[in-house]
Amino acid sequence: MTHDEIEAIAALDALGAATPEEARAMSAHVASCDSCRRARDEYAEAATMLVTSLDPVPPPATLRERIRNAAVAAAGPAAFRRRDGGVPAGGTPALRFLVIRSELHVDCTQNHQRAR
Amino acid sequence: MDPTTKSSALLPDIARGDVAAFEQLYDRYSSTLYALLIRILANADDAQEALQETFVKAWTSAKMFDALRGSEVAWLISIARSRGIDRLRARRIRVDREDEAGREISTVSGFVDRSNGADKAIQSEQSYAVRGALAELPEAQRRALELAYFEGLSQSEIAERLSQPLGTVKTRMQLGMKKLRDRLAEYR
Repeated sequence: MTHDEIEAIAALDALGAATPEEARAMSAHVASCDSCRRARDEYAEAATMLVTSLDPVPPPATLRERIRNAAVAAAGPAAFRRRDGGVPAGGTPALRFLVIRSELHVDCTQNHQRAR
Repeated sequence: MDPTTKSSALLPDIARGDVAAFEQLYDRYSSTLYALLIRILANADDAQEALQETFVKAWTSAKMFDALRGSEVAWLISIARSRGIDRLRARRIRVDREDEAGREISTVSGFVDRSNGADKAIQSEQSYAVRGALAELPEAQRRALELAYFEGLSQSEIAERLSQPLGTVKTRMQLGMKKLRDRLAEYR
């Protein structure tokens, strides 16, 4: 493929609209072509800028804590920390597991008591 | 501050497990990403789920971020768009969407409305440049770009939606992107 053809694919790829075959051809080409790799990156940046045509929309305030807790609970950086060196409010994964486990235990115990 | 302008990178700190950096990342980009997800999904509940997936992915994959490949916000937008489009496609399988026509024109008509409104002073220079660049594109090129980027349609799906030959649709997307790239070069 020519450089012009690869650039044309890069424009489509930035929009997520290149076919798998086109995307493969472009990837193979840019591995050894600096100018086409630069064009690919520039198209990708231009596509990203499309998002700035939208007015920012603040998500609901409650979502911040929910997402933070979901991230802390997810597998990820092995030892997360606060900048002050303390353990974050959600705890380490191991600690969080223990907290959840103990909460479940309390729930189960209460359910058993209620069942009786 | 416009979140798409260059600012100190937080992802390296997040990769080391810094929760405060993660919270800062959320504060810096959540409104931009949420706007994108609302635009793609047109549903607040779905957009919030996708936003959560996006930030959890950022937390778990921060070490994969390569600053040489692009900016921090570009990386996040790419994750959010991917999550949004995946959800949209899954939903398309379940139901036929009836509000397509109304949403397709929202970006640019929104630009025209806002540019006449009192809040235009708070829009960043880059944001206006992008809206201006989009508004300058011929309608057919702009629609093709929006259908691909915000709705995740393939070339053939766009051709079908617009009742145009595939080659015409490809050319429109390529011309439109080239104009955007050239017009926005100073903001890279």
